[in-house]
Amino acid sequence: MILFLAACTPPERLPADVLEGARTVAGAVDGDRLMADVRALVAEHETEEPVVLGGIWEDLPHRHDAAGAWLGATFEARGFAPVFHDVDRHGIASHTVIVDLPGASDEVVLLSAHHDVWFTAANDNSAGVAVLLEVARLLADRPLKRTVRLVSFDQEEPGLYGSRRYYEDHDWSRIVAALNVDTLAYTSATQDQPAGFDLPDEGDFVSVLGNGPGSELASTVAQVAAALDDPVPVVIAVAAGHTDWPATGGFDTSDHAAAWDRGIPGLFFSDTAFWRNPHYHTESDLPDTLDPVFFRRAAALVAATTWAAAEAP
Amino acid sequence: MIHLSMALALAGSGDHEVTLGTTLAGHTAPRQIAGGAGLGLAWRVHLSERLDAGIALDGLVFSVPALGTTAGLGLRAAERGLWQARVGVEAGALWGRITVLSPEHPKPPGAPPVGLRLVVRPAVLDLGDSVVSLGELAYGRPLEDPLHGHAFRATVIAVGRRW
Repeated sequence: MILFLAACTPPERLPADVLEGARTVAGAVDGDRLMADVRALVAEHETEEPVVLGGIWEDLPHRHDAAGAWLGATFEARGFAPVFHDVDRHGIASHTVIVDLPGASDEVVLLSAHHDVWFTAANDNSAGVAVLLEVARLLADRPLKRTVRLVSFDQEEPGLYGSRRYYEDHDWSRIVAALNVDTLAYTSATQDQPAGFDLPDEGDFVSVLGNGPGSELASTVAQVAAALDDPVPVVIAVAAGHTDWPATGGFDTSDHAAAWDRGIPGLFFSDTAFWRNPHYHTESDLPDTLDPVFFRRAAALVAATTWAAAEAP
Repeated sequence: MIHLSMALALAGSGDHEVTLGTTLAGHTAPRQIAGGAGLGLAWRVHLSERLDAGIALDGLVFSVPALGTTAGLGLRAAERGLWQARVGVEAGALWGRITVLSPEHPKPPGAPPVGLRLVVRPAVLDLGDSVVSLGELAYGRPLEDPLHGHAFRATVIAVGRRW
């Protein structure tokens, strides 16, 4: 009974100044800059000779090195000090890019995306990497209560190698929130429905999925979305326990899974990917298929939530 | 708590029936979703010639691992015999859920998903010391939002003992 009551303790209401700060951060998101970074990443992918991994991945062409190098150089050019987690195990090399925006405490809010792609993917996940760059710009000069760690994982597509290796090789005990962005810029007039869910018919919303420990974070997203001037529609779902089950398989299909496996509170932001986007994991996942207005509003939600998670009491 | 009270009451009553079956259960409401497929253990007591009371415990997987608890009352459609159809009403809770939040509802529902269901057990076969039940179906509505969503529980086959 005590456990039940604890599980039902309502999340804290965010202070007004945190919500006001989130609204300010969201309002400063630059849609043109986001799309320019997506186009730059896609152009970098195009310069790289792909590797065909075979096996279950058949003939999908995988690229990662050029985008990773570009991202590191771009962070440096914009005044940040990226560090790299380079690992080569079992014949798979991964080069994860990490930038810390230091906060007053040693607690960490980790915001991640992945820069490796099938083909030259704009939405999956150059869009997510562009969000990292935009959040870096927006939060760089703001005093932060907690450290915001921006992480672009590598080798997500073949099997979440970069993120699993990151958590294996680093002390994650101070990570209080793991936010992950994977596909965030596509809209559709129709929306496919996962079993058991009653999603809106139009694919114009951001999906935010959380694990059980992320219930408080999920409430943060909801409160932030309500506070924004130009909010993107959002559907937020939180699953109790582990989520590696048929109906919730989509809950942990990206890099946040490595955090969720460790019980770290986490959220997964996406546009629902293959439930909406016919270009998913195809060569037609190109910048011109993206919805720049939706992307700006979705990125604003991510940026504002990151801020709120860093500033929440 | 209600389930516990009923269990204690049942323990001191009439003749008993315990079955193990394959169960599907679900609760789909706008703000919480739970359910899945698994095994269900049911314990019923015949309180009189026509009236049964029972509780059930289901272990389910699909959406997220869920534990289902059910308590209900049933009426036999006929006197004792080989074939006994039964109807009843039951309340069922699912522990383990997906909650849906929104800007309008930023907090998860405080209570677990509970549904109120009508039950039909059309093919209960009384084999003396044993009992077999086929095609049990319970359907109803979520208590937290009766106008939207569904609450159901189905048992494909259950077998057990009577004493």
